[in-house]
Amino acid sequence: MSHDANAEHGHHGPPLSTYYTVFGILIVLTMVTIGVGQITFLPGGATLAAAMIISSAKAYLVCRYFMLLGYTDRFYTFILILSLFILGLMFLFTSVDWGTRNEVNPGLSDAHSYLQILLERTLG
Amino acid sequence: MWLFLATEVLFFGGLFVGFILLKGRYPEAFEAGHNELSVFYGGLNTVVLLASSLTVALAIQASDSNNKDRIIKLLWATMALAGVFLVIKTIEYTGKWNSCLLPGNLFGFPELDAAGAPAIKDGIIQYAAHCKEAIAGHQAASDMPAHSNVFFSLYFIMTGIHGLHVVIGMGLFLWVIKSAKAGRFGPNYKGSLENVGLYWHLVDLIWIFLFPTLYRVG
Repeated sequence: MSHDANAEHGHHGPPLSTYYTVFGILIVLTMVTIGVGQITFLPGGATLAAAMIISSAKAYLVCRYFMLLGYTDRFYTFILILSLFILGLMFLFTSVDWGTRNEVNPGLSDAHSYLQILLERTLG
Repeated sequence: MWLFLATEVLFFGGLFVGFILLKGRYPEAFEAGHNELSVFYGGLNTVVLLASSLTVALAIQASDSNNKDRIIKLLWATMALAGVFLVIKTIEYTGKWNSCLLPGNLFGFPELDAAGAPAIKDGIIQYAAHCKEAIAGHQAASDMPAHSNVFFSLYFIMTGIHGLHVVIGMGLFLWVIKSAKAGRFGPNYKGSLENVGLYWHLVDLIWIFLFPTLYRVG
């Protein structure tokens, strides 16, 4: 958050009513998430995708209006997006590794990877 | 502050990646695990945290108009909501404890062999007697699919670390309430208040994703 800019302009966010509106939308979206989860005829993947899209929308609202990303230097948004990008890379490469272990090293057969063995010993 | 938040995103993100991959590995166990979590309590806690995000955002907004009393009141409201979150979390944890739905080798309180791993007799893990009964809406631990303990390991690690963030947040709120009482926040200075607020919003953001990840989806 830019202290200098705040010192200069004093007021530096959305009007008060916006906070309440955003909060209302966040609650409605939470209810929608719960509602979608109750629909049993949807395949699990669709429910998961819907829940993640709604959560992302909620995260966007919190970041833009409560964390004031929409009202400050874009550099802070850049840092956040960069961290999400790196997280995406971590997920991508771990998935590729996890998904192809068996092809690369079939000798491990049932226990598909050393990582899995390690995780099982650590977690359960 | 945003750099710190980026490290937090990656810290929790790693746990999410692990969760997704292990869910792919043990879909039945994770499905059974999801069913044991109360959507009511999880949803209630989502609302509580969203409300606390609102109150802290309004506290920062109130410092623009130099309204000291309003800042203090809103910060205490945030503290109270954080407390409510922890109380609900405690209720949930107690239920899991009573039903033996616990992480790792604690799951079902099995007899352990010399190496500390669950002892297997006649091809099955010997769970404690009280973990073979379904109680309070939970399935008996002994009836859960294999590897259900992995789900509960991740559940307790992820919600536990998140809960620790809530406790730390409450400490930070006490600190900024003290500063607010000393009249330090106004249109010209609100640095520490803003940064504590950002930290708290992040705790909220993580829960926004934890809720559908752990509780909801099939």
